[in-house]
Amino acid sequence: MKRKGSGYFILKAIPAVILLLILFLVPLALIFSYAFQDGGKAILNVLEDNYTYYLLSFTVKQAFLSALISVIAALPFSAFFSAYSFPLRKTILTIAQLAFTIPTILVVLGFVIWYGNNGFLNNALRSVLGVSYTPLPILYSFKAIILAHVYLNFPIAFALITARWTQLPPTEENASYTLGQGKAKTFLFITLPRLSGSIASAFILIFLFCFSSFAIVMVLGGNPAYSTLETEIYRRVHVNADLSSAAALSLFAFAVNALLLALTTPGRKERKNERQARVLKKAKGMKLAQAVVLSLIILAFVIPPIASIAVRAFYTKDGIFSLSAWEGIAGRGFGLIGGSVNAAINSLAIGLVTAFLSVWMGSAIATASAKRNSKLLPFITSLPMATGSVMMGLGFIFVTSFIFTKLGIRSYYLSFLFVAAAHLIIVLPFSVRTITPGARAIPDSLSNAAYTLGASYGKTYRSVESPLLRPYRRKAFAFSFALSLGEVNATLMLSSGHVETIPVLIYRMIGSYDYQGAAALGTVLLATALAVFAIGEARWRKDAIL
Amino acid sequence: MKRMIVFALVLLSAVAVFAQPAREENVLTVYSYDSFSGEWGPAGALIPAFEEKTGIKVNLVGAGDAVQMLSRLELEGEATDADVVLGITDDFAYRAYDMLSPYQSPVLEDIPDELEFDKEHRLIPFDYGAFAFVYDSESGVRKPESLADLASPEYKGKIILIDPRTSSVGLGLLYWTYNQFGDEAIDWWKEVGENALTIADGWSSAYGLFTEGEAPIVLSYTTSPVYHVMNDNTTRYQAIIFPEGHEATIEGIGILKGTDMREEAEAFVDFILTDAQGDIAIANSMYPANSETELPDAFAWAPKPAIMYTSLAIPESTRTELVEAWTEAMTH
Repeated sequence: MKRKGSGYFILKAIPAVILLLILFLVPLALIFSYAFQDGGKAILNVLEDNYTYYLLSFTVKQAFLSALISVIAALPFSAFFSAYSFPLRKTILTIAQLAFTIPTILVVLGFVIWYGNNGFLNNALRSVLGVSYTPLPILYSFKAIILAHVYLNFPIAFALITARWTQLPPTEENASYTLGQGKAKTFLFITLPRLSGSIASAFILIFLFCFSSFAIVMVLGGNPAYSTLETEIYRRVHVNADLSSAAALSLFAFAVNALLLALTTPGRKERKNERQARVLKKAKGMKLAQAVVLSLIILAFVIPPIASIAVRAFYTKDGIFSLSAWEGIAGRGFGLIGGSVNAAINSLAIGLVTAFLSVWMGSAIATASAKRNSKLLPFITSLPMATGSVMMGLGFIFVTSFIFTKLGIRSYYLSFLFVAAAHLIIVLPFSVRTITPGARAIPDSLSNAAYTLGASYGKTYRSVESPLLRPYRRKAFAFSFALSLGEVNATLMLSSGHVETIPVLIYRMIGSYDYQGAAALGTVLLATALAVFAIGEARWRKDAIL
Repeated sequence: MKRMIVFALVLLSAVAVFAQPAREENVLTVYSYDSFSGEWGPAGALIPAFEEKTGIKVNLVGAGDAVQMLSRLELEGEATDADVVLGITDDFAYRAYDMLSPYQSPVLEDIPDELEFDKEHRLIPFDYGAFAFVYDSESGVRKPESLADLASPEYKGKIILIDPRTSSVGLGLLYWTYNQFGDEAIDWWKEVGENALTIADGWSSAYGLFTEGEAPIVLSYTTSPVYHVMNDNTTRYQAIIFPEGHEATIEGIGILKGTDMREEAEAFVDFILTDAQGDIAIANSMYPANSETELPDAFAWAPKPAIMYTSLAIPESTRTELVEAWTEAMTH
């Protein structure tokens, strides 16, 4: 059944759909058409090759475990954070998202600096225990892959589940206790089903994220047997230059992911009136102590690898304090003075534009799909996540060469807009999936009451529905901004190298051996994200919920 | 919300104006890989110098990495704007030849014959490097003497390799082992793979692991020590020369067939092969192709191997089979 106002919201979702069509769906369709070049032989080869299934099973295994563990690990923390309020609660929720802002190569380096065989942790343990072997050989194994994936994705599960849980009044749980049910049973049969929407959202986002991961899998896994489908797609494009077989394999991966997305995109559900949000209890005494312990556990997991990058920006490997990296990024060598300031402004501008637009479009799509009970919109907007960066990169090459060469349009502004638009496509699945559970929880009776009182769809959205989405929008904003800040592949490809962002400079510096300078720029990225999050927090402090 | 969007758009356009370089007609369009064309790449100083010297305006387009650049040229076909393409490597040269027209540059006589791409000089080498293992001389590990020596059990967990499926450096090592061991190359990988701490996805993460002290031996270039001498003032990291020879990688520049600015394009190629040689060599950490080029003293720490192979000697079909054999052996 359609709800009132669905047409209005569909209209609001149109810009996002057009953007997806031009920059994503059309080029992707063109690339996939290469798979059928020789009458589908490439696809048959993929389907008949045992290696395909070997790669698929490993890819699914690591993605499934990463998503499962991230979600399970988030549950106890979300339970506490959605029940009690305590000082710095929001800050900790925010800090958990910082790792998103740094490009993969720095995440890998941060991991190595902290967990490595010669990293801070092992060196500290060595001197405490007085041993010479590696006390905690974590890296270069299967568990290192999972650890790194959980590290990157725990924040998604934590944020999404906490946002939903905070909005659930504990009335049903209380009824269950009154009926004499134990805590475990109540959680399993009452709470978990009520959280299922946000758990599914988090799980699928994390699964798709890990499905196409390959740098982390290869470096930290330490064994070429740990290969994902994306590795093989990369090889076929970049080493074999065989677009036909690459397209066939990536079509296969895309189909698997799209199927998964279709199955898990939330469909129609009866919605109950849950008008009153949960009131957070103030943590006191034992509960406050518990809050401190849980917060410390989160910080101890999240902070060290990124803090390692900041430390490396100031200290050489031998522990000597040095500002040379900072002098370097301020414009020594063959760089231009202010080059990194320019890049910082570019990154910030693109990040903010991307995040604002992504929240705006994400809200429109989430509300439209909730009003219409449509699976189609959230499904289409999630497809970029199912694609993987290699094919997405080829798609961008198609677009740029068409627009720059065939149409003869070339301008710096256009490059800039393209980069922002590409970022938008990449982050949109996150904001749609983050906001959808919130949009689905808005009771119809509330909107209908407003319509009865003569309010237009727009007015009702602005003054009734939109405020209820605020905590979800805030999460979506943080994720979108952080992801855009760390994005590098699309930026390079769509700007012909003319739009320099901080991650682009980080890759350049590493390319010319300057790892310390890269760490310094990584620190700039983290500081930028922290500043934006802090401003956001101050602005939103008035909102009671999150 | 609307106010925020307006604010964001104003911000965006403000930034765009602030960094806007003007585009003009009748300029020489050069495609290069990103790390060359960015403000921080060697182009930042070289292009203005060329424009001043010749009065020819250049539009430098960063077209991704070398492979993406080729893909883009292939897609654009004859409609391409590019007059010159810079940065095609020997392993993909075969894909570029058909798009390029020969140029007998007068500078060719200063470029050693062993760097030659093709007899017609459709691609002309402008710099080259040699893959090598770099080791940490303060780690206490014995300096390995040859590729075969790396299989010795004492190096267990002490070597960082790079995957040929995802990196041109890893691919370089695969060709190197093939040029040296022939069909037994894969056996070498199996044995040395046992000693590897990890087989990284690319050079960046591999070398980062190495400088963080995760393992004392890494696959890199003979020129790698130069950075550490010039910037960290240390000779601790040294490139090891194996007497049996090394795999080289050559970067070339070429003029596109469809150019309507032939003369300007030739001037640009000559400039890259003469005035620009020193800057490019330092920025890319490669040896200049022009043997007349003067280099900083730190290049003394980049020993040139006496024997060098290139992938040009390996037929294209063999190359694909090699990677497939590697994948079969290493991932099953």
